[in-house]
Amino acid sequence: MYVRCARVGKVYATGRSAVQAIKSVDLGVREGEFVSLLGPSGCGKSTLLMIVAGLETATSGAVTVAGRPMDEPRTDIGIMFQDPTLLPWRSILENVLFPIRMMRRPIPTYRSRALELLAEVGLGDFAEHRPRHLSGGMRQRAAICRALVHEPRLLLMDEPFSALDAITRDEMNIALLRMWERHKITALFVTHSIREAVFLSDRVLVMNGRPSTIIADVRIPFARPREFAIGDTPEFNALCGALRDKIGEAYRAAGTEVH
Amino acid sequence: MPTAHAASEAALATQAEQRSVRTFERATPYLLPAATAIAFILAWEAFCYFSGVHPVILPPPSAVLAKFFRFFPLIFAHSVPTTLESLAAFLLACLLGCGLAAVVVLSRRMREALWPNLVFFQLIPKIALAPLFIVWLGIGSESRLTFALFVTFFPMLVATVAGLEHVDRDMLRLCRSVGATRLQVLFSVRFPSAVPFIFSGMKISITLAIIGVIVGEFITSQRGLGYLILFASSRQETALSMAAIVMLCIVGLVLYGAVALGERIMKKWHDG
Repeated sequence: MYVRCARVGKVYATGRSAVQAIKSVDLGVREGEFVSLLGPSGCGKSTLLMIVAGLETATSGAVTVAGRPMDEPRTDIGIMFQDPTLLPWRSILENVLFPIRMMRRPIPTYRSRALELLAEVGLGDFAEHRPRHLSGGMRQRAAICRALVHEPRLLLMDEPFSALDAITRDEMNIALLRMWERHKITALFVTHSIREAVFLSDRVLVMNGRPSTIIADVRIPFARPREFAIGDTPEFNALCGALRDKIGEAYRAAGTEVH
Repeated sequence: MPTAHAASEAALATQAEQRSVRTFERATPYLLPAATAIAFILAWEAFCYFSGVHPVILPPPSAVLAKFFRFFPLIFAHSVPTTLESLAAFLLACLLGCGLAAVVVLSRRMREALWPNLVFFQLIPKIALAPLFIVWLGIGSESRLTFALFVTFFPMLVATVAGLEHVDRDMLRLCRSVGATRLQVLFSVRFPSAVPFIFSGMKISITLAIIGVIVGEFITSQRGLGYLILFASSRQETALSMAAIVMLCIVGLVLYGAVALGERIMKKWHDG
């Protein structure tokens, strides 16, 4: 397993009381696999992702990435957020090279890679533009390039397309899959969209509850490379329906448990 | 076809009329305040003329203007040290404000140690400290500068701290995930994103710097507009005193204008 979480738990201490955000999560992601964490807002999936990124510490359990414990941020990881978080005063190319600059690696060496990445997502002509002149989808494409520029082996994404409109979101899903296939990278993707999770993933882990756990681990059998047309097939819709039922069941179960 | 011709002429006329109305609408933000000021000055002039108030108590604007032009070399000579000292106090305040803000934002411990004391310091009426500065630093420009700096730096500090902390949480996460040091984050992300905040602080600070220097000149100086204002009033030269104030307004406008211009340029850069 490339990413492994063993009994990962997170408790937030708030004054006198303590809030348990994540109960006990076990998960594994194989090298080169695309796995989605699917669940409603506030179910702790983003927190789990931040723990895998080494940006938050688990209060119990252990996380390893590539066999090494993940207890602080590491540069073999690329990360994307809901907002592109580009620096407005820097050009798109400079923004893509931002991780290289922070890591004090030689920028000329990575310049051509950055330009290649931009060309791959269709931003070849926008390298010298400022983020303000780009659409939301284009900015998020630039953020994909920034996450990949330092050749990470693991790409972590925290609802990266949830602020985009539905049409742009579909385009971004295709763009992301092409980049994932081309760069053969392991991916962990957080989303609250069932269709998005099914379309992108090899496996979907359904998270729910507060404190949250993983309630289902569903394999997505569709062949790769995937085209958007698979979203219209009965198999695709049946799988989405099954996932929706699983989430609903968990809600009802939680309803009877919680007083 | 004469009728069509007349119609088109009429249309042109209304177009021209509309255009002039629009020009007027666009000019009102400038015309209205200017007209108000002129009306006020005329009323002042008329009041002096008809009430027979003694010119030492209230000189008419025309007398102030006459003094301003007649003594322009003198007023200008006194405005130079005031301008330079205000500028120096302002620049020192920017350095001190930004520096302290960086320290406070970088280190939680330093923040805990410094912040309450800085706020407490600000609660002291600053004018009360002016005599102490004279005791410590003498009656030269050092004590005026220190006093002006003391008046000036706090808004700069508060604005800069707010700016340095106004950074997107995910941006900071990204920085940490790519292994950026705190200093790298400070100079590559925090300070550039704080630019609009820093300029808000600067606009307040530049006006306070002038106030600080003038008060300093009231207390210690042998030159400068503050000295000239005080000197002229003590000689019952109220018109000259007011002429010096006119110069002070010009100095203030130029300094504030320079900061506002810098803000416009930097805002363009900041927004991309």
